[in-house]
Amino acid sequence: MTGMPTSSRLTAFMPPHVLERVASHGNARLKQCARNTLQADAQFRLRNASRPSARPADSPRPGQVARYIYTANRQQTLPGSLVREEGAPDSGDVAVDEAYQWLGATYRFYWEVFERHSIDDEGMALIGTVHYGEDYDNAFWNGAQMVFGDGDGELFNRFTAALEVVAHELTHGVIEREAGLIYADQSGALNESLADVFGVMVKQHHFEQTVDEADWLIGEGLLTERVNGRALRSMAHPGTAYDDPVLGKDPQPGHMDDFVQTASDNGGVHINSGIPNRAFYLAATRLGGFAWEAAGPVWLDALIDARLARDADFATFARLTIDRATARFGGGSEAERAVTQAWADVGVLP
Amino acid sequence: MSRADCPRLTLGSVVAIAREGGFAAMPGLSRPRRFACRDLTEGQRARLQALIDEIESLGSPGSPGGNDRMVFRITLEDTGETPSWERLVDESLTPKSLNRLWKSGPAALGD
Ligand SMILES: [Zn+2]
Repeated sequence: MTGMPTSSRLTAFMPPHVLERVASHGNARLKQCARNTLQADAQFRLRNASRPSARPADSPRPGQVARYIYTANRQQTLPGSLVREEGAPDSGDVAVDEAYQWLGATYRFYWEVFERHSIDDEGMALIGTVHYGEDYDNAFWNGAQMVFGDGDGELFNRFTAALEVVAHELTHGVIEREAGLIYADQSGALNESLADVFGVMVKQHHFEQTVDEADWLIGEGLLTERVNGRALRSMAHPGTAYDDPVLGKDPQPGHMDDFVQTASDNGGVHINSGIPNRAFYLAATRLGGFAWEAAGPVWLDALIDARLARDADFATFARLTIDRATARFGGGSEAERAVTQAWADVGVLP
Repeated sequence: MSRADCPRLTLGSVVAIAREGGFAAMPGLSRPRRFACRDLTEGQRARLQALIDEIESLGSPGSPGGNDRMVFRITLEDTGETPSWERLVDESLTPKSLNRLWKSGPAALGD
């Protein structure tokens, strides 16, 4: 067989966000293939979501978190067996208890700072599964719950070890419901960045750190001492979190001049997120105090703004944050100037 | 898709496997591998072909959705650098044999 892959073959395993783009921008043949696959996907998800009895109860009232922590027992079945639910005492399993505590801290952040009642602002139950898979070096949001691996022990510790990781995954749920940012290319990197931005703010809020006291690291404590690195990402200085013979060098750019073009990882969503990450860091540090007092609310305003399109690029989001800074703090305000300058500094806006 | 459409490995084929994505998407975790059919035994080639057939037969089970999930990218190169066949398979839908192949290399294909 020679030549390029046929359209049907290409679309067979494309993630839905890519299919959506193909369905709206591709040529006629590709479009039909993408639409067929999207239909199959929708049916697949419906089948798998239609088990209401399996979903535990949501929160009974605003301000009250509803947490359910399961163990996958090193298998890959979700959600696994329930170990600890809301109000239950420590389980004695450190991963279970960390997930419980950090989900609580994340809920509290969204509630106390933004009066947001859980992921959907309607008290959605927070479901976390720990001990997922064997030596699993990952944590993810699957559209309904958060999932955490134990790490392989050689390079990675358990993924519940860092509060911002748990907060990052929960925030993916918020982003999914509010903006539905397509998980590819710039909108995907923006999705990743927002998960990091709110993840790091939850950490700073929990430990009561000002922007100057905070380390602005994502996944601090996840890497074992065998690894030459401090964390998985640095929002202050993207590209400097690790430089290791086995894991390689942190590839994140902190400026549009260094934007990475790649097909891998949905167009480098975990790489180019360094650019908007640094923009938030610059805005927040310029404003001083606590990140959730000025920069945080501006970013949340932009995230929940109805004008934020699913395929928004960095510049669109940047203009929205300036607009929301003006609306919240006034034209010519320090916040407006700090946000504007931050996006200029990372080359997203002129 | 008919069976006839399935890619067939030849002696000149090269199969590349890499893992992408995840919350900890770090360069060193991708661990790309390349299997040149020329260097494989007949038995190993047959097992690699069986794996490609299995991936192809998965059809379109749908992406599980969500964020920070890892995927495997499997690429078949015949002559030239343009891939003649490529698949992204979500980690949760990945055949065990593919995972073993990515982890252990040709040893996972037996003798
Ligand atoms: Zn993420």
